[in-house]
Amino acid sequence: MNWPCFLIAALIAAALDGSLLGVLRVGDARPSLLMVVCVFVLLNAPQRTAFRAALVAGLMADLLTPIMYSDATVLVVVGPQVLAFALGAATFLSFRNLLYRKSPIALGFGTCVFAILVALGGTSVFVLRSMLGGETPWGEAGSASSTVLSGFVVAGLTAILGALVLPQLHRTRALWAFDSTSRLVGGAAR
Amino acid sequence: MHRWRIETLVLLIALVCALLPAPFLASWTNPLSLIVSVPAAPITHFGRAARDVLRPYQTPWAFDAPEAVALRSELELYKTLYAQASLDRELLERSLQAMRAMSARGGGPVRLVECSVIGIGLNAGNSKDAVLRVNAGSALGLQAGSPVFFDNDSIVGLVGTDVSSLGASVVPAHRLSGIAVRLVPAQFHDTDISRFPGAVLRPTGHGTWLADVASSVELTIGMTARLADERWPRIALGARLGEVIAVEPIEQAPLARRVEVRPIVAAEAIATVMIAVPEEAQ
Repeated sequence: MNWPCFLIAALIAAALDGSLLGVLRVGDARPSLLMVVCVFVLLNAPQRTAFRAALVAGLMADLLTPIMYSDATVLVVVGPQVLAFALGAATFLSFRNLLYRKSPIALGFGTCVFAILVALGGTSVFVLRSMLGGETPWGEAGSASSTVLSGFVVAGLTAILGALVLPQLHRTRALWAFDSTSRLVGGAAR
Repeated sequence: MHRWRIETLVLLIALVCALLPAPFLASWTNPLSLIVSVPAAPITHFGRAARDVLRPYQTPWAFDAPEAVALRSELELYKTLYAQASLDRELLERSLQAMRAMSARGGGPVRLVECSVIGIGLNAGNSKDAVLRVNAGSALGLQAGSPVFFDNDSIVGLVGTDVSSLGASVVPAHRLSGIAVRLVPAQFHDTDISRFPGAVLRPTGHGTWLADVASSVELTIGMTARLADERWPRIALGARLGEVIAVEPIEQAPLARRVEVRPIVAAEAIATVMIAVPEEAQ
């Protein structure tokens, strides 16, 4: 896979997540283009490369979504989204061969599953963190359940975005240089 | 599993980092976040500008902000002023209606003095026998015997004999005896009440009056007793005094009936009254 291409795409997607995609918000939830890019890589790249790309995307999500305190200070917690993206990627990779990649509905469904797992995984890590006395994105006023519900809305919106964007991204496969060749084994042709 | 050793290690590091307390994170994760966000800044700025054009965020309203607190206190102030103005308007309208009612009854030039009830002097501990004390006196032209009104043309009583320069007492009407009235239907609003049956009220001592009426006119509960006593100032004639609450036959006089009348104004429960003062008394 062309890693610079992935990094630039992921950076652009993460930057748009925090800005332009606010126009598609529903309440506090908005779709994530970074997840769509991640799903695109998970669909096309070899398993190990795709998993590593998901880890990088998770790290990017962690770094660009700090916890905001009421006194306007921020704290960047590295890890929760890495683990969440890893959970989503591991699950997605297990069923990606079942997806019909030319169907926007199938792509939207796959994106939705990935986003739900990311929401559940990320919230679970923060729940674990809060049990150890650490900070959480929902603070004292919110709750983990409301964050999960918000994550489900994000998953729905991301699924719609994925169904629309993934077919377009598919046209740029040449840029990404996904390794789709099979290893040839020497021997007599059958 | 052997092939995924690096990924497993990364996940373990991520888990440890995710659970580290804030002091161990902020020193290096915040600068790292800034480094990553620098190349994304142009796109972020472009995206925010486009978002603000397409669908701007509502500015969050800080409830505790000084401006918000000042606005709320101003709002409360204006609400208070509005309520005060409404009360003033009500008072003025009532005065106007009372003046109209007075002028409709005639009786020479009079001036209306609006005053507040500032106390109730209890006799024998019964509030129904109370003498009202008002905050207007001879300085405003009040004289003993001036009629006291409430709410347009309802009689409260008469100004008592103890009139000082700044205060006066009001004897409630139900303590007065021998008041001549005419019993008119409640819906009748004309000033000419001479054709209705007359009666002379005598107090029962329980805050009501009794009167024997010898008339063939049908008497019903709810009729209004209007003042028709020539001993009272002319301005008060025709004003409402009471309401018929009971009508009973009299065994000794089959053509007569006994009516019980209660004051139309509960003197002990009112806050402001209007006192009619002859113009020359000023």
